[in-house]
Amino acid sequence: MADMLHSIMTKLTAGFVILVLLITALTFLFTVSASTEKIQESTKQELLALASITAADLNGDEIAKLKPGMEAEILYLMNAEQLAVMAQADHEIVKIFTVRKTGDGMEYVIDSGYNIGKRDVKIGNPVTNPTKAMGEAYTGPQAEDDFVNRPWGSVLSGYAPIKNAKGEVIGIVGVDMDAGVVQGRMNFVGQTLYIILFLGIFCAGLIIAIFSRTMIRDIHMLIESANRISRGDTDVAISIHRNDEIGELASSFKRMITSLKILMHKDYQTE
Amino acid sequence: MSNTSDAVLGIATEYLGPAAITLLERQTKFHLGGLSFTDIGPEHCNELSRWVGLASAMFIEQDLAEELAEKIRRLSP
Repeated sequence: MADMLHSIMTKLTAGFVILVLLITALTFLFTVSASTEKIQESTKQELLALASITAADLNGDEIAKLKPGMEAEILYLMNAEQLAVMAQADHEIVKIFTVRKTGDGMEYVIDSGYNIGKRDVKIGNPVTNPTKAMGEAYTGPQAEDDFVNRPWGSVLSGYAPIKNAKGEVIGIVGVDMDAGVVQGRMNFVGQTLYIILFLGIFCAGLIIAIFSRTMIRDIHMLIESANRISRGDTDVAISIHRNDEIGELASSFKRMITSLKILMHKDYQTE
Repeated sequence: MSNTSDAVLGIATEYLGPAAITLLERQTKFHLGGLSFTDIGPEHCNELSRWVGLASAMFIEQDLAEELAEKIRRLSP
C-alpha cells in the first residue's frame, strides 16, 4: 500500500487529476453562475414578451367594467377565455391573470384558469403580496427578479400594463411560469456540466494511467537490470525503445552494461 | 591520437560506452599488425571495421554491431 502511494504512477495520476479537477471546477463555477443568470434573464424576457402581447390584445375598457360577482357574465368569460388560450399556447405558463390597484393595495380581476376548471381567484380577491415589480408594471413591462408565491404556487412572473381606449392604464396582466420549470432550465446547465466534468476527469485519469503504466513498466525493467548487474549478472537485455527521457536513460544504461561486459570479459582483462 | 582514432573512438563510444577504447585497442593490436589504436589512419578503417563488428557482437545486438562496423568502414578512403 505504501509502495503504491509513493509510486510515480500514483503521483502522476493524482497530480493530473487534481489539475484537471481544479481547472474544471473553476470553469464549472464561472460557467454555471453565468449560464444560470443568462437563463433566468432569457426566461424573464420571455415572460415580458408574452405579458406585453397579452396586454396589447386585452380590452382595457371591458376589464375596467368587471366588478365582484360578475364571473358568470359574458364580459368576464370572454376575457378569461382569451387569457386561457394564451396560457395554453405555452405549456410552461401556469397562469395568466389581471390585477388592478385598489385604494390600499391590489386585487385580482381575471383568472385564466376560469374556463378550464382551475379557478383560483375571483374578481376582487386581494393580492396578498403585491410586489414592487407589480406596481412598477403600471408604467411599463416588468419582471420579477425572484420567485413569488401565488395562490397557485411559486412562480416567476412578468407583467405588462393594460390600457383603455384613452391610453390610460387600468390594470396589469401577469404571466406566471412555474418555479419548477425555471429551476429545471437552470439546473439543466449545471447537470450537463457535471456530466462533462465527470467524463473529463475519467478520460484524463484513464489516459494518464495508460501513459504512466508503460513508463513505470520501463523504469521497473531498468531497476531490475540494475539489480541483476549489482549482483554480478551482466547478461541482461534491455528492450526499451522510446524517444523520450526514459529511452535516453535506457540507452545510457545499455552503454554502461556493454562497457562492463567488455571490461569483465577475460580477453580484455589480460590486456 | 590521430584524427581517425578520434573519429572511430567517438563512433564506438556511442555503442560500447567508455570501454570502447579497450576493445578498439585490442582489435588494432591483434588484427592490424600490432599497430597502436592512436596511430590508425583512414586506410585502416576498412579492416578495423570488420573486426570491430565481430568483436562488438559479443556485447551488443548483431544489428547494432553491424551498424557500428558500417560507420567505421565509411571512414575509409
